Amino acid sequence: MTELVTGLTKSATGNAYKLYAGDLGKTFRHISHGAGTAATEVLKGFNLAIQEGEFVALLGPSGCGKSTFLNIIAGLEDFNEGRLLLDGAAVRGVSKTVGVVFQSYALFPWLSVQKNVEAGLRIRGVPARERHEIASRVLRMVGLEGFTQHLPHRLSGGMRQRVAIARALAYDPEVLVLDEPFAALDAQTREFLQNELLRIWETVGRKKTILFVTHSIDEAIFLADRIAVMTKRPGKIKSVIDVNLSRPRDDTARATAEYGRIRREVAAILQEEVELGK
Amino acid sequence: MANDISLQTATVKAMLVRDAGGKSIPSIQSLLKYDKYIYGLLGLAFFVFLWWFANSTGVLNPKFLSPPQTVLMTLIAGVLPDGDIWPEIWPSLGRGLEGFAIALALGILGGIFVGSFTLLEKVLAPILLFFRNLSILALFPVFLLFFGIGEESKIAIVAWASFWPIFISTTSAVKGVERILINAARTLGAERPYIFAHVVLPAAVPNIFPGIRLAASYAFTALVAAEYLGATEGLGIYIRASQERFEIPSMYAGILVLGLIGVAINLVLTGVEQRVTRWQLGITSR
Repeated sequence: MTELVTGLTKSATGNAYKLYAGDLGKTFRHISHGAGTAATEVLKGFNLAIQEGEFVALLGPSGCGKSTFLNIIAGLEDFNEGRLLLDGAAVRGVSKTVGVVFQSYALFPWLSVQKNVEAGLRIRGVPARERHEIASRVLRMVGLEGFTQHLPHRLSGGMRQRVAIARALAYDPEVLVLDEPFAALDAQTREFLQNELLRIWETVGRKKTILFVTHSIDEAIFLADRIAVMTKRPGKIKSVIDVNLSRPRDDTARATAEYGRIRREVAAILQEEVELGK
Repeated sequence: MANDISLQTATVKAMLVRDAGGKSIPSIQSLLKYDKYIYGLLGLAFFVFLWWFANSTGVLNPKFLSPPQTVLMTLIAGVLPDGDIWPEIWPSLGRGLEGFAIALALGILGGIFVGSFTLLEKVLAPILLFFRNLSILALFPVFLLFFGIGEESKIAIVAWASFWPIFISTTSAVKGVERILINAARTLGAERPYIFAHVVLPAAVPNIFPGIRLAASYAFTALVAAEYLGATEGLGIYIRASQERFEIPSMYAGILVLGLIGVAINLVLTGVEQRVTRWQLGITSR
């Protein structure tokens, strides 16, 4: 396991990876009453390397900084130390090759499903007819072709999240990052969407590189090629675990011995962190 | 009285349940859809009746308050193309709408700008607080000094008066826009101008509109005051001149026209508001 971690960080330049975070550090400074300025170290010595087309789940105790890392990749947040490379080039600000899906959907409530999905294309100046075609195709892919003219709040939570995924996929990003996208959904919908996500990921021509933030061990195992487990704050990667379950996966994967073994392993690592936190 | 009517409504509904095939009852039922208008008309009729009654019984001196039928006749004669009110309407309406349009553009642009940059808001806060609470009447001489007694000063006064409610509601509406929507737009690759026009503005519009409606009424209040100051034509000066000539029915007819313009503008704005905030149906209790 430790060899795996070092193995992942061996490339000094990180050039070979789709996404590479080297010794990343992030400190929030805030003005606190009485004590002048206070600083919270959220990430420290964070190393993660992801290959092209890989599905990586980022798992960690709550408040460990996993969403902060995701926001840094999304370009919504800056970092203080280390390097972040996308295709070997340093990332500063929002990269147009990254698509983001938020837990709270973040759809534009005044736009129809169709227009929401077209938004990224519109920003990129794609002509109206072309973006209509692309959006329609992506909406068919996520199974929402019958709801194109609906406003988002007329849809269920699971459908809204499918719209959000469609919106992020429409402009064909290289990397898709998802921040606990199914956490707010009920158990049945969650499992259905996990299957859907894998189906969509496997149908698109060239597999997208996915970073999936979650706090659910089961979700991480079912979806990912590798699971990166974080330490408590200040967060860094504690271990990376391979998930050797065959693809395409379906619900039977959840009943295999390998699944159970990984589950115990990951749970033990997480347990350690939670106890350290106490 | 209201109790009686709701009782009747209940009875009608109960009868409908029992006898859905009834012929005369559904027509009452279909009238109930327009209850807002029916009650409104009742209220209006009552008001006009009181007006007429107070006049004919001499409770109020007809020299000071002309009877409704006289005012109505003066009004109709006045707003005919060759009447004496007709030529006064357009200068006033023009000034009012021009000033309002300027306030709308500056108020929304300025409000989005100030609302988006916390630092700017902090810097400007004391200055804005001072001006927004300053009486418009106190500023009249200043406007006359800068813009003269012509059209410009009147338009400027109207613009000033209606700027503040729009600006203030826009500033707070912009601050209320959900951060996550802006973040979503940023991750989609949007730059600042796009975010302002396509995310901040539409998200803020429902909360800007109350300010816009308030501004419309401020606009015409300020307009009449500005016209009192000195104008050769316009409803304000018409109302005042009628009073000075002791043509009291004309004075009331002028007031009535002004009031109706206010009602019409409010209706137009409500219609626009319903159109642009239609997406909120089902999200809020609108």
